[in-house]
Amino acid sequence: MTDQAETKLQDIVRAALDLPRDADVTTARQTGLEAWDSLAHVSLMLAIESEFALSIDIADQIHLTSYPAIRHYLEEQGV
Amino acid sequence: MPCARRSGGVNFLEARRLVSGLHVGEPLPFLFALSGTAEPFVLYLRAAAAKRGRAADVRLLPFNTLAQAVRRDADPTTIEVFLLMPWDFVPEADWRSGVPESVDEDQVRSQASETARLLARRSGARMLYLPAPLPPLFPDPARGAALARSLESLALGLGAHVLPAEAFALPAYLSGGCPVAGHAIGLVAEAVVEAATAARAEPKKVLVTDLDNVLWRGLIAEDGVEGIAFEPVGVGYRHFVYQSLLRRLRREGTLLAAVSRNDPDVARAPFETGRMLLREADFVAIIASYHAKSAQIRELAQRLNLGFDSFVFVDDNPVEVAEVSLALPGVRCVTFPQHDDAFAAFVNDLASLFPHRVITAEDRERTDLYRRRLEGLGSTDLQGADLTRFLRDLKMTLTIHDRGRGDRTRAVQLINKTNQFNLNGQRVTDEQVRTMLEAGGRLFGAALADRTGNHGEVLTCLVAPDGTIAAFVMSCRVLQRRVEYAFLAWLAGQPTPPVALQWESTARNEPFRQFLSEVAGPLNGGGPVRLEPAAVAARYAQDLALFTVCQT
Repeated sequence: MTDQAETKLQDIVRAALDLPRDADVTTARQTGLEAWDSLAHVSLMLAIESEFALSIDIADQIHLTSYPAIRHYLEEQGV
Repeated sequence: MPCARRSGGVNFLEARRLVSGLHVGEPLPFLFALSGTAEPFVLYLRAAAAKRGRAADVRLLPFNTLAQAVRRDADPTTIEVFLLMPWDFVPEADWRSGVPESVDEDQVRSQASETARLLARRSGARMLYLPAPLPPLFPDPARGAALARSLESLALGLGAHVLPAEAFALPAYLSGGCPVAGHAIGLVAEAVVEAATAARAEPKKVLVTDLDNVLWRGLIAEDGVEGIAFEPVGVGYRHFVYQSLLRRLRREGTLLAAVSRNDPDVARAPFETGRMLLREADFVAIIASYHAKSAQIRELAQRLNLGFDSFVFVDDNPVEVAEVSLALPGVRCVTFPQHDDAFAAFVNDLASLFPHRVITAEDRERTDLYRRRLEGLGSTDLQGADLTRFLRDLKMTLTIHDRGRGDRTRAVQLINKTNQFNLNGQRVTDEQVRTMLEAGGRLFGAALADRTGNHGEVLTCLVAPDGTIAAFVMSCRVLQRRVEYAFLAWLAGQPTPPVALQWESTARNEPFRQFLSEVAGPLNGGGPVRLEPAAVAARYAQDLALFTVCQT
């Protein structure tokens, strides 16, 4: 993943979860963040689809519950 | 498998930037009605509004409550934008419920129609339709495809804007209830805000139509009832179709009125034959007079107590259309097409100005209710718009032919067939004209052309040897263009101008009486009317200046 793409992903996660601009999201997990509820997860998945021009399968959406998982997924997609 | 998609509309981060960059904006409150999860849309809706300098204040329906919402009365103060899915019409087609074991097709279609009826009651609502694929509902896939098309037709019948089917995403819908793909959510939000901000197109209420060459083919005052065409054959076909459209609009509650530069009894004659689709009772008023049409419509609006923006005016004559447009900018003016290839679009465009989602008994009776308000309409002296600028832009050329030499067939024919703009109604033979010319008389013909086309030879003037105008006729097709004033100014400026006109009133020549009264003052019965050439040439010099004059 390029630095530019990684920066974009971090911006998306912060914005979708309504986190401060300087928040470190690289270790963020759904289980540890109150803001990462089911509705925020829908918005986050749609935001990633929107920014990276992807369509994410349901099976993948269920597992993309942490920043590292999302980052790994995007790398697999060639982002 | 995931797949790359083409993005549309504003992306997520750009949407954030747009929203955070809008500090002050005109509020845009509206209800976004979606049966699925609508919350992810809010950011994109606010971004689309921010692009327009508006601060969106979006209200959402709770998840899966659209069916209940459409059964409640609409709040007339709220802008509603519905994003409809196929399963809003047919709940059995909702992917989130799985594929149904069996479906009663009649019941499904009946349910869809009922939902469409409920939506149609919300006359101010703006509709979008996302034609998502349906799950297999029937053993025969063709029936499913037919149902899908029917649902789209129902949506179109509600005036819905149909979105690209690719905007639907089954994964997002199944996993989170949001039916729109991430790559398309910005695009869909744009369409929603576009709908929310669009000026609400109020249906028009009154269609005012010209008669000659619009409701029928031909000029009733010249051709008579037997010479006009309105039946479904030959040149009358277009006018038959036009009448059939008006008949339907009237049934749906549109008020019909007619304005015509004719005598009232002449204009009404075709209706009395009983052969036309439309009867006089279909109109709230048939106004036949020689006043400006804009003035007639103005009085009609006052008597009906309706604003000009409720009116549509149809005429084949671009000068009449311009006159009404200039005088009454609120009236929607539509030109009846000259050529067949434009007719289908004309009919559809005209019908679209009078959308009716629901027809009530009151709609059907509206004409009778309004007819009672309009007795005696059209009797006052009315002024129209100043058309000088429009006429100048027409770049008219008046070619004046000396018909004392050569072929005078058309000139004589025009004298003998013209009823309305006719000095005295006298018919002449070619032999009589020849005798007068040999004795020193003069015969002029005038042809008109402008940027809309060539109108041919439209005016004839026969001057007797003693300088009295014995015949002066003009085709009423070109009334309003000031041809008659320009010609008389030209004639009055010639070395041996006429000194009088041999006036006689007839049953049909009211237009000429009005013209002559203006030129020569009040008329007392029939007989010679004196003409002051110098005064006429000076007074109508501005009219003559509207034309490029050629002489042959």
